[in-house]
Amino acid sequence: MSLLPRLTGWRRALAIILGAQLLFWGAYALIVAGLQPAGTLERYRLPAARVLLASEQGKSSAFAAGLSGPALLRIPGWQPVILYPARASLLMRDEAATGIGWSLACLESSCPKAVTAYAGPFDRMNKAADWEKFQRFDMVWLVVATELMMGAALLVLLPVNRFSRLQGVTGLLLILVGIDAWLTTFGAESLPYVWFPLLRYGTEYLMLAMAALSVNAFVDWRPREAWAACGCFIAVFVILLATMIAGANFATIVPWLDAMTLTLLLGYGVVALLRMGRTAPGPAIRVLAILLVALASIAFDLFLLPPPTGFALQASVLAPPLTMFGILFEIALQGHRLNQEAEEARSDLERQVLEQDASLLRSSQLLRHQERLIAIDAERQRLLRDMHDGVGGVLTHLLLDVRENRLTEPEIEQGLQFAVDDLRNMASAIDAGNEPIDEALAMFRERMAGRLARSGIAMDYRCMLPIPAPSLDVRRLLSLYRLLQEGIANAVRHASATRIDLAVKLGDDGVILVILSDDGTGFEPTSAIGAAGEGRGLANMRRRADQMGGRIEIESAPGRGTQLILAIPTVVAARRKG
Amino acid sequence: MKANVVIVEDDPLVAAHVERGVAAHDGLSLLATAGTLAGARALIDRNVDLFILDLGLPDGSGIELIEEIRARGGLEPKILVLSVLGDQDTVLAAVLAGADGYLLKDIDSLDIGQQAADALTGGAPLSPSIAAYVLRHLRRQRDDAKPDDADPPLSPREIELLQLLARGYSNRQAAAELEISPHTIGDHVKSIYRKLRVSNRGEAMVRAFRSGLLRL
Repeated sequence: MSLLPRLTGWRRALAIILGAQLLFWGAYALIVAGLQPAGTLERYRLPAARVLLASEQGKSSAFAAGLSGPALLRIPGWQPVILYPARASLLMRDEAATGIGWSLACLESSCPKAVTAYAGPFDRMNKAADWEKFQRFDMVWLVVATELMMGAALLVLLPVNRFSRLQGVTGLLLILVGIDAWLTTFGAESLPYVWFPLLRYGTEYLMLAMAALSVNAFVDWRPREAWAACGCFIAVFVILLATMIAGANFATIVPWLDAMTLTLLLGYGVVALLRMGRTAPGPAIRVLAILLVALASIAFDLFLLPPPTGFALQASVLAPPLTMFGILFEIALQGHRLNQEAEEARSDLERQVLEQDASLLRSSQLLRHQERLIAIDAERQRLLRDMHDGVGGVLTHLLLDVRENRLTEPEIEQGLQFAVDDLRNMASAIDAGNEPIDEALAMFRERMAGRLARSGIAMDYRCMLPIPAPSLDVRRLLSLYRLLQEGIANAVRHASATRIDLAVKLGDDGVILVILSDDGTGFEPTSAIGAAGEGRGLANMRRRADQMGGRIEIESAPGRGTQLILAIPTVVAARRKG
Repeated sequence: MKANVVIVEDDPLVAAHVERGVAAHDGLSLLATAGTLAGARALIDRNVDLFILDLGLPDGSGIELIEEIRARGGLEPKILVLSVLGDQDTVLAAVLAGADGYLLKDIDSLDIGQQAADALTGGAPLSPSIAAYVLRHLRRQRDDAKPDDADPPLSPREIELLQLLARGYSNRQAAAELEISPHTIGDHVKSIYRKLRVSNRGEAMVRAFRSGLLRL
C-alpha cells in the first residue's frame, strides 16, 4: 500500500473503478485462455456435418448441446443413438438405415429450442461434451459449494467481527444463493414433488429479500427498510402460496414477480448507493466499481461476444463471484476497522488508567508527604520536650547556680558532664530507636564504662536476649537511657559502689527485664521515699518507667547493694531482621 | 620507639586537650597539630603512625583527608576521628571512608592516650557502637537492596562477629563464643572493613555525608 501514492477524491474513485475492471478482465482473459478449446464446433453442426461425417475415418460420435434429458438421434447411414445431456455418444455405421432427413427427438418431453446437435470425430465431441458438463453442472456444484462454504465461514467468524450485521446478513445471503443455484439446476430432478416450485421460488425471493437486507446493512442499517424488505418477501410468498393452492401455473406468475422484485431491488440498490455516496464515499465507490464490472460484463456478452458456438464463456458468469469477493473484501475491511477501533479504544483506556494511576500516585504521595510533615512536626515537638526534660533543665539549673556562686568546680563539671551525657543519650536514642535493644545497651555501656573505670568502678554488661533482640522506639529508649543514667549516678554518688552490673534478659509475657545492680551501701527503700536526694532520684526513675509503660522494682537493703529491675513490655522487632 | 601522632583539630581548646592526652602516654609522641585541611595535607607525607582528626574543618571535611590518606596506600597510618556525640552518621561515614575508630571529645585526656595506643596496637579494633552502626548500615542496605548490587556480601561468620561485638562482647569473649582464636578476630575485622570500604553504598553514604557537612 505504501508503495502507491495516496490518491484522493475523484482520482481515487477512478483508480478503484479501473482497478476493478482490470482485475475482472484479467481474470476473464486468463480463464478463457486456459479453457477455450481451439476452433469451433460449427463445422460439425447437424445436419450440415453429415457430409463431413461420411468421410470420417476414425471413431465418430454425436453430441447435443443444451439437452435436458435423453434424446434419440437419427442420421441416415448410421444406427440410431441415444444422446444424454453433456455426454458424447458413439455412432455406428449402418448402411441399411436409410432416409433423407435426420431427427432429434427428446424422449421425456419436448426438446428445448436451443438444442443443437453435432456429429464428428469422437475426441472432438467428447471435449465439447466435457465442456458443457463443466459449464452446466460442475460449475454449478462449484458455485454451490463455494457459496455455502463462504456463507458458513462468514457466520462462523461472526464473533471475530463482533457480530457485524453486514457479515451475518451476507453469510445468510451466500448460503441462500448456493441453495437457490442448486434448486434451480438440480432441484427439479432431485425433488420431484408437487410442492417443489413453492420451495424453489420461495428460496429465490428469500434470497432477493436477503440481498436487500445486505444492501441495507452495507449502507448504514435502517430498521424500517429491513422491515419493508421482509414485508415484500412475505407478500410474494403469500402470492406464491395462493397460486399453489389455487393450482394455477407458476410459469404465468413468476416472470411478473421476477420483474417486480428485481426492479424493486435494483431501485433500492441505486437509492442506497446514492445515500451512501454522501455518508461513506469510500465503500460507495467500491460498490460502484463492482456494479460497473457487472454492467460491463453484461454489455460484453450482449454486444461483443460472438454468438454462442458451444465454447463461449459468458463474462457475466464471472460477475457474481466477483461481487462476492467484493463483499468479502468489504467485510474484511470492516473487521479491520473494528479491530482498529477496538485497539484505539483499548489504548485510550490504557492511557486513562495510566493517568488515573499517576494522579492516584500523586495524591498518595501528597498524602504521604503531609503525613511525613505531621510526623516530623510531632518528632520535633517530642525532641523539644525531651531537651526541656533533660539537658535544658540541667543547664538552666547550672546557670542559675553558677550565677549565684553556689557551686564548686567539681559540681559544675558534674552538671556539665550530665548535660553532655544527656545529649549523647538523645543522639543515641535517635540513632538506636527501633534497633535491637542489646546493641543500644551495649553502646550505653560503652559510653559509661570508660568514665566509671577512671573513678575506679567496673561496669559489666550481659545480654541474654535472643538474636534478633526486640527493640524500643526512640522515646522509650531515651527514657531507658535516662533511667539507667540516673541509677548509675545514684550508685556512684550515694552508694559508693565499686562495681555496677547491667543485665538484660527476657521476662515472662515477652517483657524485657533490664537489671542494674551495684555493690554499694544500699538503703532502706521504704524510708527513702519522700526523702530528699535519693528520694527524688527514685521518683524520677519511677516517672521514667511510667513513661515507657513499664514497671520498676527497687530492691535494696543497707549494706547489700541496690538492684533496679525494670520490666518493659515490648513488641518483638523481628521484622527488620527478616 | 614512640608512635608519631598528628592531630587535626581547628578548636584550640580541644586540640590542647588531645595534645595533653598524647603527651601523657608513653608510647605516643606528638608530631604536629594542624588546624586546617590544607595544613593537614602538608603532613600526609610525613612518617605518621596515627591521625587524630576532626571532621568539621574550616576549609573542608575531615572525610576528604581520610580518603586522601587511604588513597596513598603504602604504610597505612591509623586514623581516629574526634566526635562530640559519637552519633551514627558521623562515625559510620568516617569508618566507611577509612577511619579506624572515634574518640569522644570530652573524655579524660588519660583515656585519649589509652584509646589512641589501643588503636595503634589493634587492641580494640571494633567498638560496640561501630559494630552496631555497621550492622544497621548492612540492614538498611538489605532492606532496600537492588538486584544489581554488586557489593561484596559479608560472610555469615563476619555478621555473627559483628553481632557479638555490637552486644558488647570483647574480642576475647567473641573469640570464645565463635570458637576461634582472638587473632582470627582481627582478620575478620580487617575483612569487614575492607568489604565495607569497597562497597558502592559505603561510598555513596560517605559522599552524602561529606556534601551534607560541606553545606553547613
